[in-house]
Amino acid sequence: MNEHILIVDDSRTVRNLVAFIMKKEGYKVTMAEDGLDGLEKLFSADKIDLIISDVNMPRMDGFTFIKNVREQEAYKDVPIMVLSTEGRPSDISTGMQLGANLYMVKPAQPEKMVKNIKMLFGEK
Amino acid sequence: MNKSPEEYFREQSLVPSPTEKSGSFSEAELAFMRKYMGLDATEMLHRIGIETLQEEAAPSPPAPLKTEEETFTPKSGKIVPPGLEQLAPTTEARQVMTKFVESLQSSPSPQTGPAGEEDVFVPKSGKIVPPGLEQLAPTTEARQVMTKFVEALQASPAPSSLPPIGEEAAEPELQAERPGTPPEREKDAQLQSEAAEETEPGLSKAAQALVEAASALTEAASAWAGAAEKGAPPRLPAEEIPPAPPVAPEPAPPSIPPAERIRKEEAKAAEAPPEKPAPAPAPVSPRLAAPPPPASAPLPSEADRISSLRPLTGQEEDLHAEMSEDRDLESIMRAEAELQMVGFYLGAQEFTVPIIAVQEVIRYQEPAKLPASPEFVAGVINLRGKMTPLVYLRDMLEIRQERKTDDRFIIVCRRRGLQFGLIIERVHTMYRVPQKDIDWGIEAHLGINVDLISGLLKLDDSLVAIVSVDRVVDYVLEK
Repeated sequence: MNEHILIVDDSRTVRNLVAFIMKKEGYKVTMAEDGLDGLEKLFSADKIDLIISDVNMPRMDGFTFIKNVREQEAYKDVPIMVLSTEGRPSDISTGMQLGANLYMVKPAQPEKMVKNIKMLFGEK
Repeated sequence: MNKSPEEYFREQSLVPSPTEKSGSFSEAELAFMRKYMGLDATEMLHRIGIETLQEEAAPSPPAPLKTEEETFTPKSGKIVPPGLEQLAPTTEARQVMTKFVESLQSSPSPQTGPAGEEDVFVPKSGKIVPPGLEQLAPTTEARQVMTKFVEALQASPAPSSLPPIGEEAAEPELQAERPGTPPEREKDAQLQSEAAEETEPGLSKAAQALVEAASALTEAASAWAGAAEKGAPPRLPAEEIPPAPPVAPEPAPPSIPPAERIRKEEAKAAEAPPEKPAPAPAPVSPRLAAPPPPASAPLPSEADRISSLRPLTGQEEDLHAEMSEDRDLESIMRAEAELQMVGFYLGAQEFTVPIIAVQEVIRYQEPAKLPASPEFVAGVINLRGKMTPLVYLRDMLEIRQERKTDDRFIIVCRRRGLQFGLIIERVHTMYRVPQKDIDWGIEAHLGINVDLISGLLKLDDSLVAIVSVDRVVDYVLEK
């Protein structure tokens, strides 16, 4: 426990909700409002152990963010879970090709989310 | 089903913003097009999916008519159909009719009346064919409506005999009893309070016919435009107009093209009473009266041609971005207590740009190459309907180091009305730095093109250069 999760979503409601669910499980949470903010948090906060990212965000969308994260030496293997309203097979495929480990489509059940997070940490 | 990331990003960038509106090319965009596209600008933009509209530089004389009798002749130089000035200045009807009479005005008149006569036009013969009309199919609604319109004008009395519309609005037959009659005034006030599109009771029959004809003309033109999109009349371009949100009535600034103003009026008219059908997009009625240019007209110069280009799709200008766009970026940065900078890599070296200049960061897209352009100009892409030149920042900064990675990103900036992309290798992170950690006076040579660097950022124990986005624009447009 006590792993550090970065939540990247332009919706404050979604950020707060996911943060609430993760904190309840004992994880430490940092929030970012878009890809650029997410990159900032990656290097200013304590080491991030897992990233939950939305796709449609201003300034830098989720897929560009994931691609950039994979470029960083320190975070090229960090588990990334996409949590997005875009659920078409093409979107899922793009996300996975860019380096996401898991793709969840909103609306997502909190229990399923927690189960997936635990699985990603277990794979580490 | 499976899509490559490149295809995904390409599709995303082509999706138009839902708040797009038509506009015009900025000065900086026109300068870029003149410098790097020249005569091929329209074709190059078409290649990346940006359709343009060539506005006619000068009014063209109408096509020759069949017989001399089939024309109407204005008695004086100024044509003002009776009742027109009484219509609200921003209604579609007035705009449509103004365009129509302007075309009538520019038609050759075998006889001109002496100055000072009343401003009406008088047809020479019973049969009236406005210039350009016979080029339309004889059975189109537009021709029928316009014929009805000029017949109404023909039947209307001289302006001096028409009562003014407004508080004293009344039928001509009621003129003798109206002044000071309270019941009439009440009736008028009640009727005046109805929707703006409805005809006021005080309008004369002729003026009413004018208004009805103008409304019918607009509707017919819209229906005709619908047929035009299916390919019937070949001359006019089909315009794709996204539905505009209803806007409050406002005086139309002269810089907005007529199609844009009419579109706004249509959005207003969509809220009008139910008996008025919602107007279809793309009113081409201003063009109905525009005859084809004659073969003998001189060709416009290349610069004029590019200056007269208008994009069919545009993008919403973010007000905040626009405000910071015009001011010198460095002066804005120097005034801030804390700056947010986007750090990125070119080779092994890290650089930064201020976040206020950054619109977004996107995945690399292959641009359309521009012929005879310098090496640092990679080409242009279509980013949500806006022409976006891409430049290799690496070449501009003369960085000789080897590329660490082939995967590239584009930092999209917007300055001085030009949206452009800086091709970089990868984004590192975003920094928040206090003003005290920025050194604006650069004395030491950094081994790169210092002209494009506006300052140095002190990060831990290293110095990171701040790229001057303003000077990048100057470099691209002037060099």
